[in-house]
Amino acid sequence: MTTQNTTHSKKRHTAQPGPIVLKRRTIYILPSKAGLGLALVLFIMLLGSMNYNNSMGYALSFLLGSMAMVSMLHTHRTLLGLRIEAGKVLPVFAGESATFQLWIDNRGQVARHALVWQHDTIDIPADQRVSIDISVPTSQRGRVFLGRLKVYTRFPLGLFHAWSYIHLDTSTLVYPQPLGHRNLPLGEQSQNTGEGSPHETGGDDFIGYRDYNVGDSPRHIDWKAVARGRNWMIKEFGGLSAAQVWLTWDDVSMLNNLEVALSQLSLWILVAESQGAQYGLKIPTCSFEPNSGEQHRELCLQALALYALPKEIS
Amino acid sequence: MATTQTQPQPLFPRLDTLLWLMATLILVVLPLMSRMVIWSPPLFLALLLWRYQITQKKWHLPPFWLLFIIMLVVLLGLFLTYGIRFGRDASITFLVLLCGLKLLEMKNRREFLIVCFLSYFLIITNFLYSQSIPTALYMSLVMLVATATLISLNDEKKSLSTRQRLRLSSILLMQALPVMLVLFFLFPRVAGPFWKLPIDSRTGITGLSDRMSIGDVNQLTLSDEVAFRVKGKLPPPELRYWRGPVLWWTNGREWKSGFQQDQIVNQLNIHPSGEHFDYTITLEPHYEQWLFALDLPVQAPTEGAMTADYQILAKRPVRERMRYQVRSYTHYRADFITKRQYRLALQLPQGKHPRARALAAQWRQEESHPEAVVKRALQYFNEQAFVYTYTPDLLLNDPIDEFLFETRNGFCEHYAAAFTVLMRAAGIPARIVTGYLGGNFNPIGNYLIVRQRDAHAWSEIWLPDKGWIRIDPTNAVAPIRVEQGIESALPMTFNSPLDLNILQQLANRWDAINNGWNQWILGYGPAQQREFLSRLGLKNIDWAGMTIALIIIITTLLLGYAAWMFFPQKLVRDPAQKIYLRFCQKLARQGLHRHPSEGPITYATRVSAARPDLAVPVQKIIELYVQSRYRSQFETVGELRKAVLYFR
Repeated sequence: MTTQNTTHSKKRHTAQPGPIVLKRRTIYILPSKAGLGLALVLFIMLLGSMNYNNSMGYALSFLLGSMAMVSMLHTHRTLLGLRIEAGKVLPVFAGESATFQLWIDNRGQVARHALVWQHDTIDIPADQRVSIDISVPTSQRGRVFLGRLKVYTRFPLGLFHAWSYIHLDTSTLVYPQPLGHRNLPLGEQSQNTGEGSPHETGGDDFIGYRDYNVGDSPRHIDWKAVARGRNWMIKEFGGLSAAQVWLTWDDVSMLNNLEVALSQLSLWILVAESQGAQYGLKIPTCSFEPNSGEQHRELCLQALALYALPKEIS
Repeated sequence: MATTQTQPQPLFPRLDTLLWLMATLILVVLPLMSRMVIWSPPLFLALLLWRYQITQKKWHLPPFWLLFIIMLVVLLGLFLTYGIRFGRDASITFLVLLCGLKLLEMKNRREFLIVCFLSYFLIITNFLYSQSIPTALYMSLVMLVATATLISLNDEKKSLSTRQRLRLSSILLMQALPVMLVLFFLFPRVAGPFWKLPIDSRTGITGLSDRMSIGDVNQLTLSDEVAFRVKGKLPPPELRYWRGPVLWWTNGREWKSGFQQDQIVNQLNIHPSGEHFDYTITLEPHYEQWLFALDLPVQAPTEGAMTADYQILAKRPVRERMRYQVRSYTHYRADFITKRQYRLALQLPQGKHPRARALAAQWRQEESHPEAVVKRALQYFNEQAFVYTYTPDLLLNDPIDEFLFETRNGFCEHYAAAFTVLMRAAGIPARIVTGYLGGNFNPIGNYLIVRQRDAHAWSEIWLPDKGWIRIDPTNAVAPIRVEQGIESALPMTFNSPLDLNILQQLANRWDAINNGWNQWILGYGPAQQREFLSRLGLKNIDWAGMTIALIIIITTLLLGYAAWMFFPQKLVRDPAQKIYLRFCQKLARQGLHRHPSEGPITYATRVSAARPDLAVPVQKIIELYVQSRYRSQFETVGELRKAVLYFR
């Protein structure tokens, strides 16, 4: 029940930002297959009771029918008043699945049972809330929306199927899939030997320490030193540490396809970041001065993700 | 089809749900077991056990061909037991075994539901045998378990305990009960049956039959089953002869009506005299046509017609409880007899009963008047060593002669048959009348109960100047049987009169309840529904009107439930929060008010800073609170309560 970012724009206006409370008008209920089966059984039982003039047969048929009717209320109540809120969600690369966290809050005094969300079945005790993860596959860069979700239940007797749609306005960025065959373009300032892939430059070699800068990857912090109470130091690897790389539109202009170009840039950003290089990004819409670190990387990838897409998505 | 699975995946359903289903099946089949062929209950239980082992030990489901073979064997067994014509017992046995076999094939939700629904069917089949109050209560219990089974199936996370499942199930049933009652009383009733009832639908029903044979049984079972109940004006006990089938034809051992039952005569020559008795009889279904009435009814009720031998016959066999009104006179002259009847009333089998014939001939010679012959015969029964017993000796060759001259013990049928033979041999037209004698008065319900054990047989002789006269030869042997009822004629079973009284009172009360149940619940049909509705002020309502009324009432009921279930979700704070608020109040009294937006941890830090002396207990309490409220560690709530209580 999720929508891809290609079709989101039509449905987006129905999405609600805040918590959604399941109200009577938004809960639909119909007899399930089992319920229809029981209706048939009841009809036969009633016919038999009439034929034999069997009062207890009538009573049993009526009791079963009444119980089915009452169970409809119980099934409806299982969904009624649930409060659904969007939790955290992390950006992903195209092709991966975005994992949306949802908080489902049961403020009532009755536990809710057997709520089915996509493939998950959950129970929520009275006056508690639980979280579930909904994964949404992505195929294109841009923004992925959680879209419309369906939640249903058949509790307690399985004779009715109650469902509701939840359309929360929550989304996350989808970065271009990091793909490409081209080597990292090394600028003139590069102190390393011209061409060649970064791996050939021995990017895994430990070079030395430098002071910690805000934005540095925590993976490269010398935690042992921190634990000993020394200053925060960054372990430098590879030969690109001091390199400054400009990733520009011109470097990918020979790739005819825009998406392929963005994928190549995306890959280069990841490579440069992992090499600890200082990289800048220059694309027609914006440009980032060479830098490194998670924040910088996210900024660059974000710019690629939203490049040349309609404003409303960003 | 259930073939072997290559991958050992967990079998549907899980063990606990399976056990619920099996409990339902066993409970519902238990009362049916006595009706089933001897080999079928063990087979059914074996099938259940097999399925249990499959789930428990993760065996494979049996292959389809094996189930098919078992099925064929079952059908063959049923065929050998019941023959080609499947009646009710055979069908139910088949249904039960089908459930067992279906269990062995069950591997998904749909098949599970089929077994569930089959078990509902089996509940209803129980009601074909008994609709008594205990049965109804027992079946409510079965419904409770069956509903819990459905809940167990749908409780997919298995988070409900057995008790919670039963609780939810009883909530559903209790809520369904008022809706059911509305449906029961207002659902438009129609008179059945639509199709032919199975051939053995009257098995298990004791009652009179239209034939009787002498000397075949040496143990008469006394059934406490109610034959009918009578309300209204009644004669003294010794005159309470309830007239039933009349037997004319005999072959020396067997007696049957031998007469055109359906011959209805308009002019029956009944000349009543003296007091009349008007009363209402509520007859239990006996699947025969005759309606009982006090000897002698003057006119048939509207539901029946009177035959040429003063029997009342209903238009159709009595398949449901039936109520009718009759007027009877205990003093009458009834002298209708046709030539054919006259011949039949003197018929005796060729060459049988030589000694009885000889005795009768001797009396006829000695006495000039038929009435004197009757007196001689009664004297014979009275003076010879005749014994009234329910355990008579078997009579092998000539039942009448053996009884009259050798064994001399028997019950009413023996005496009536022997007397009638003697009369016929003496040339006096005579016939046997069967029916009931007496009955117990129930002071609580103010009615008379006549049970199967009150069944009786007597004779009628025809005298030219007096018409048909009732003669009860049993009276000559055991007059107490006639005057005080069957219990008195047999040895006492109770130890003291006190016990008898209490037990009798309890029995009366129970029967009064049963009578109400029968009249108002089991006997509720189209006629009763009309009566009930007209009492509610809904005279002349047709079925469309009833349906509309039904829909309105049920919708109102359901809306009422909805209002009750959906809205009163009063916010009750969870216990930990309540205790925390109490703690905050205690601190507030010390001047340490909590800011509205302040969380527990920041509050505790501020309090600790302001009052270092309180820091230790405050931190402890806050820690407990955070644990119980935000980390769902409910077991710490008690500790928290204690800590706050002792906090000054």
